[in-house]
Amino acid sequence: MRPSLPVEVFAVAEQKWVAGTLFFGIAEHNLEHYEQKWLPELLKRRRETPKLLKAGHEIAAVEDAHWDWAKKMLREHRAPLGFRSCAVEVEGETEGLMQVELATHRSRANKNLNLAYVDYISIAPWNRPWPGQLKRFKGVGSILLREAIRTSMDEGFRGRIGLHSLPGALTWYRDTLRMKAFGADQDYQGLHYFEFTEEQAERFMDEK
Amino acid sequence: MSKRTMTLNLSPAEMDAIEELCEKKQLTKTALLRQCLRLYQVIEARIDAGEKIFFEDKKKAKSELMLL
Repeated sequence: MRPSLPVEVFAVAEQKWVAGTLFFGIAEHNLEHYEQKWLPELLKRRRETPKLLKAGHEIAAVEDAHWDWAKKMLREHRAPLGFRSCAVEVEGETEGLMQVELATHRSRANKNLNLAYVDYISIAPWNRPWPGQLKRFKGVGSILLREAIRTSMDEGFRGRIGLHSLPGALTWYRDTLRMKAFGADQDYQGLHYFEFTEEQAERFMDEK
Repeated sequence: MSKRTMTLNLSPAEMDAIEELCEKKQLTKTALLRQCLRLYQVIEARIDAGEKIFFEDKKKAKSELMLL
């Protein structure tokens, strides 16, 4: 049986917290959910994006639709010590996926120190803001980031995490989470790089 | 996660290197050795998959790390 932790997510339509599970490791059925349920919706949204932008809607682009989670898991299978992946499930549905890399990244705040690098983090399309649609669940992304911080603590990195943000998630990392911003990284497709310092990570873990 | 313990026999120079790295990286000896192991495994896996590893200097000149 896959190791797991109980978690709670907020069901927006019902306005109540519901039970979910954080599973350690991404299983075959999570990859199937991504391929068969997430991807068609992501691609549909990608097609609708230009029309919605033209109509004046402020929407986050669907920038992760090209991520090949099966390929990402292959590198984890080849070098399992270097990665930690996990999945959030609610009632058997996959609601969030994350892969953290532990071997090769250093903090940009202090180059001597290692950190847990959030290589990929993604929530199901129905949990993202979209014109005319309520999100199904809130809080999935925070559950995943907390798990990245816990992993960092377990490995002796004291909660330090780092990540590159896709443009659509920039405001969440910068304004909502107030992660330490290092600006656009020209060595990484110009994506903005962020870190949680030890103190920020500790504060984030204490928040509900 | 269950853990197992092992005893290592290291020379004074090797022990000094571990202690220096622990101080620099602010890691315990266990955490440092775990980090070494995962880095080693990642490098081996990428070499086995046919990739090459390069170091780049400040002038962006690259030199391949030869692992024999």
